[in-house]
Amino acid sequence: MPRPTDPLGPDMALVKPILASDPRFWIAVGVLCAGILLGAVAYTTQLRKGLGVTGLNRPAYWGIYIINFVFFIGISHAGTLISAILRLARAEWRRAITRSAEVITVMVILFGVISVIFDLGRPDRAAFIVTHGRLQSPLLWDVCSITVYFTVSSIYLYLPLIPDIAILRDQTNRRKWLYRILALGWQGTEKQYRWLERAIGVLMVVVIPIAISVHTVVSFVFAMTVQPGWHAAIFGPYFVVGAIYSGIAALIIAMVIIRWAYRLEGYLKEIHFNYLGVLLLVMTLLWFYFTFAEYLTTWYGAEPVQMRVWWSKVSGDFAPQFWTMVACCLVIPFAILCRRKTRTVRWMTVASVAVTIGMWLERFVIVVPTVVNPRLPIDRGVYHPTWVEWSMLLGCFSFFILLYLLFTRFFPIVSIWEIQEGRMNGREEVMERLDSYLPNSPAAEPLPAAKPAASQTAEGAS
Amino acid sequence: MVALGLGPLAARALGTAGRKVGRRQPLVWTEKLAPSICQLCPSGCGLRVRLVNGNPVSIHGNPLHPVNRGGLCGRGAAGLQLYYDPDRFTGPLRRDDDLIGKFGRTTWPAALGDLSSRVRYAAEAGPGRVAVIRGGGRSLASELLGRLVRAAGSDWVIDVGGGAGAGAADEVLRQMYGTTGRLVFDLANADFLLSIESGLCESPTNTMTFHRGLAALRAAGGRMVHAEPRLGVTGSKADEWLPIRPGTAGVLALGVAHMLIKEGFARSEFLATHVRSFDDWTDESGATQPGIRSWILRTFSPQRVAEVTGVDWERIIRVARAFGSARRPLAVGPVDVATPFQTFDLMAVHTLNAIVGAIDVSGGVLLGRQPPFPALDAPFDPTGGPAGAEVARGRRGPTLDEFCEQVLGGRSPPITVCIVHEADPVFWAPNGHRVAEALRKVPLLVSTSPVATDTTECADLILPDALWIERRSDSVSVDADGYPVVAMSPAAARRRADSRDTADVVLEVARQAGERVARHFPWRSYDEVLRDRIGAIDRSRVGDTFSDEHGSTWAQLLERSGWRSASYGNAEELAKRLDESGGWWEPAYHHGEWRRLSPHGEHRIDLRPVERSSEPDALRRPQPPFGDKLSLYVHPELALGVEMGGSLPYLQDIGSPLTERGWETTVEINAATALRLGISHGDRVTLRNDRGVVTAVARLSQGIRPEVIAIHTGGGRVRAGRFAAGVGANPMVLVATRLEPGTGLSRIEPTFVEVRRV
Amino acid sequence: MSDEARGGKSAAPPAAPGAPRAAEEPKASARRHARWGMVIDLGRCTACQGCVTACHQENNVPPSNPELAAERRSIRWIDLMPVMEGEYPHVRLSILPVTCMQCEKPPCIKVCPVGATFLSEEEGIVGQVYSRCIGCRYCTNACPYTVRQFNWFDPNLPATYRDGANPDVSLRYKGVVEKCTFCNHRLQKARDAAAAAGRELLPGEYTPACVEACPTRAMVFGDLADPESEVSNLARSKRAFRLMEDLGTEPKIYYLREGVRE
Repeated sequence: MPRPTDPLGPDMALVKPILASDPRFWIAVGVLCAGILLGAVAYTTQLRKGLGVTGLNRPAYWGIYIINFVFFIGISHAGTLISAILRLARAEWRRAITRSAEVITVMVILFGVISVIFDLGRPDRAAFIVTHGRLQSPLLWDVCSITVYFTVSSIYLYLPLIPDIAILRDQTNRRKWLYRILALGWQGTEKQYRWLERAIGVLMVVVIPIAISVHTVVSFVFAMTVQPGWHAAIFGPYFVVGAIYSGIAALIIAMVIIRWAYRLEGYLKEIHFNYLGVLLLVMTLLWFYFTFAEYLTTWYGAEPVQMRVWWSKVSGDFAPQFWTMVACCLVIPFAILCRRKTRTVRWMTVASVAVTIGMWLERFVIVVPTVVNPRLPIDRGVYHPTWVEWSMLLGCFSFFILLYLLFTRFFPIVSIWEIQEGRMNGREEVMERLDSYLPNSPAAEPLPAAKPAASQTAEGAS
Repeated sequence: MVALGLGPLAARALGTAGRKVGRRQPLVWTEKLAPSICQLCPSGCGLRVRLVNGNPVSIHGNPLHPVNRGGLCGRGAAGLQLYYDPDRFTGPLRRDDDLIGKFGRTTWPAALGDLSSRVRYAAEAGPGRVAVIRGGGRSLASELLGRLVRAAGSDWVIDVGGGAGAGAADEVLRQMYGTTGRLVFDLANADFLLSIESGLCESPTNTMTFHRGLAALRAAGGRMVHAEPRLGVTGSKADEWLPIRPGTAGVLALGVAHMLIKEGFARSEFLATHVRSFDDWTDESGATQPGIRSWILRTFSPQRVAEVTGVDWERIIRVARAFGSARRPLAVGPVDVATPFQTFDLMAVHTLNAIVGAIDVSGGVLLGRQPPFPALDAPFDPTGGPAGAEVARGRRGPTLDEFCEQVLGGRSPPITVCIVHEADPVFWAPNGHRVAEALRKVPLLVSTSPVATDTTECADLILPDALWIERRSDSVSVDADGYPVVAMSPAAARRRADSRDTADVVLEVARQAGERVARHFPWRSYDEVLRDRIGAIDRSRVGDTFSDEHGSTWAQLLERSGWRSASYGNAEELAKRLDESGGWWEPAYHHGEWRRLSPHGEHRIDLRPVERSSEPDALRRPQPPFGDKLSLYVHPELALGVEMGGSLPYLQDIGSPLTERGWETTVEINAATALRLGISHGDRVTLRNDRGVVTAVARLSQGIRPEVIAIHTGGGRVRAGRFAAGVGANPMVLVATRLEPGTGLSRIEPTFVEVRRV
Repeated sequence: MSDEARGGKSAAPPAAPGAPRAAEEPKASARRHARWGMVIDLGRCTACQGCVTACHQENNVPPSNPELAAERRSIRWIDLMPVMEGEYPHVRLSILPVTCMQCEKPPCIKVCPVGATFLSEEEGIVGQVYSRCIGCRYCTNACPYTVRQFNWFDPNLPATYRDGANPDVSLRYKGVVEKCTFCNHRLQKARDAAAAAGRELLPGEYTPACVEACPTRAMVFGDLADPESEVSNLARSKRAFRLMEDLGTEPKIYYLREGVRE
């Protein structure tokens, strides 16, 4: 099998961001640092005075921090899960987008975890979760599955990165020491490639159940309590669907920015966006299906405690958030995505931004109405987030974007070797595969030894 | 799992986990329980103060005290916060010249010297120049202050303990019962309670008696109907709530009376023997005089009463029938809620009680039995003439309004010295600014308050009283089922401020104020007065010191059968037992005793005053003013009704029991009315009339009449410590007063306000 | 306050389960496990709030202030819950004192990630270890009764109040959850006193501050594991109910309905 030998050549554009300096980068870093600084000031205030500087109260014990936690963990499904599914399905169009998706995953998990730390009254005791952890608590399940997810996702990001690092090591002059260490002595031998593909093959199968478990378990934090609006069996799959939904939206936004900033129109083409748009459309409908099922059953059952929460969302205090959510998660994306004509980069950006905002609001609408409408008819709660919480939200976003930005300045955000591999072997492989699907074709007979990568996939899948 | 084994051990660790309080606290500490008496309301509950290394750390009830039997209301335990109040006066203060509200430290000898010379001049200049304004407290200090005023030849002993409704109960006693003293409701033994704007549970006075009585009534299966414009804590105890219009309590009572008479529920035997002028009667000239019976039948038909009170006549009839057919019915009127026609309302309720014979019987109205020693503040002739209750019987005490009139009107003789004790009239009175003006005009205004209040602002001299737990304290109460309870206890805790017992202050002032005053004060100290009282108790050969419940029941049984087995043999033993147990009481009430009060032997309740007190306005449907105004209903709340309160943050916490939050003044509005006015739950609203504006937080409720807005008192102190100043709003600024024609007492006027969302 | 005192250093070390304890106290197995519980007779309760103040004083619960109250951050270990039913003019109002229900199956304990709250096996009391709590407020949300309280700030008390704090109970600090402990420290004291006298704990020797203060005897406290105790008898009455019994949390606080005769 031919392997990329002349690593760069036409793909020089992919390493340009790493080599060339760009004033826009420094402006972006400045702006993001300002956001981070604001978040830091907010957190310092909170540490000094206590959680009272937030808008939280009794019974609104949870607010933006927990919403952020769910939201960020949701976004993290962008990556690994989507790239794993696309790899598994051997969708050829994946090659340009897997890397940017995987990076989102790894970076954003950090902020999910950090949001929980922000929420703690005693962050200095966070280690107790490890030293005195109780497995009975769904929070511990979160800790376990997120840790595993983070680890696997990091490896899953790192492994396909190795050949690219080796390219950087060999073809460029910057940070040679770093790339030398990270390349782990990659020489691009057939054996190394075989091992790499085998490892990726295993990981992409393993990462899917892990990713699903992560968001299921996140939903369990709510669903395991007996509180109205939370205690629902649908929450696991509902959260997973929501996560993938918001993840794809975030991925599209990231791709749009990368494409614009690094002029990668040649790699991230309209067709990619079109395909992702269809995927997003599917998720829109799935999300609507779950939301509909959830709200309909609650309404039809009409338990008073449930209905108090339900009405507070539909026509009460949280109606603005609820209906904005419906607009952002259903109306806008559906209107844009259902027509081929509007599945352009520009319109997709609008849809994705709407979905991202809508999914943040969805978490708000899940968390807050329930906590302010507890079962016991004590005085109804209110929740008005303060500047501290908004600043922390801004800080988290800024920090995430900064990390993402830095990644693109250190590593190619589009996988070079995979693109090259696709260019060299892709067509042939697809043709072969196509032949194998068709009746009475010469390649219809199984050829077990011919395709090591394919057999690996089959093994992993079994 | 780690956690599985953690439970039992953590349970042990619970006491030690976290930060220990009082880091200077040694590891081994000494602890004791010292008895004391709560002075936050006139109930005078027995306390036990827990001291750790001499510091009081908590206040508990004294289980031997018959009034509270170890229990405490929401205020009792909070008293400690007054002791530790960071804003307490640390010693006597004198107003800086020409600067109102600015005080400088002075010394006790200087302050007392000043006060006594002024009292002396006033006493020598002539009668009526010294005044005292007292709260509801029933301790020796109050009595001695009253005595000081009388010894100085003055009658200005103004009791403001009952708030804006003060004086009405005394009028009932004086005019209907022909006596003085206190009326007591035997709630515990009644089986049907008709409570009309009674405020039993909201009452800031006699809390313990009312609450324990009501609990006993309900626990024994007694029924209860409560009539009030709003449904509050008292209403929550009732089986049925009658939402009457504000100011129509008396009409409802007489409407029920009408039905009782008409349907033959009136207890004619009782009426015949114990009641005067119920039926038509013949006077000396032989002319037939109409009795109250015909007046009630003529005036209070259910339809008419329904129209005035706003309650369906079917409901009134049903309640009347239930009330009449009960075995031991009892009606209670506005005891602690100020109403526009208070005297009439109370008299109507007592008329109702007379009709069902609920007077001086178990489960009826009782007349508190006085302790076996004279009240030191009873009126006497300071020149040495015959003293006596007879003189007082026909005369009521002066009111705050009369005091203001005297001072501001520049009437002669001028009041030159005024002492305010356990009272904050500037804050509580409906016409506070006028009271403040009058108090400022008095040449020497003395306050004994241990904390800053709106009244101390006007003072020239502040002589901070010691708190009850840091001084020898005492209380005389007749409210627990009508028998006298005399509590005494030594100081429980050390003093935190350079304060003095007001009783000692009065004795010292009297001694220095010249022979004319001093001869009425043969005692050198508070202790000596108490010793006198102990002697009188011992000589009376009745009652016993407090004992536990079994002992008390036994003593009651004995006493009822005319036996007695006291725990003491002489005054010395009694004094010792008093210190141990907390007090002395007569454990039984003797029914029928009140009839002996009459000089003529045969004593009857006179019902005529109820007709006399009924003003035409009281019998009409209250006329709402034009426009979109709501009728203001002002009511107390237990925790906020502390005369000197506000400095007790725990009480601000529990301020209004129907709201979650506290630390604010809430108004209740009917949900439908609120919808019409565009007000939602939790909104800030302004209440405005031509007298003032009040801002409060709205609470929407189904339990209030649609045309009424209810507001509680106790908020909006201007001058107070850090916990009270500026918290909530004072509804009294909206309330006007008028003079009740029959009695000359001041009454709140029906008040209407415009309500707007802020 | 020192940092050491605030930190988790004084946390109770995790105990080994079962066996060593039994070895320490040979009598432990012989001793009947108590199930402390309370019955609140709503017919007797007059909402005087004596229980509230007594509890807060006993347990050093800091008083609130206008800001905290407006932000709904006052800490109440026990509080009154008014329930109004019906529409004007036919309205009924009940007022329930609500405190930690001391559930036999507490939803709050299950969710705690660090074991800062626990159901004591011997007493049936739901306890809270302040030095272990990380302040995630999962328990406060899992509790269907919303009776768990969180310290949003350090208590802001005047210095003079510190002298009057109860030395038996630790003061809490910002960032931890707290709640009614059934005055657990009183149980320990009563136990110690009984042990010093060489006898078992007698009924009535251990009462929480709220029960002690209740002037109308609306609150009755005792051992529900003893079928003949007063609380057990009352808890079996027809008037007895528990809050949200259908959730299966098995609260050990019972209420007796007002106005229903047996």
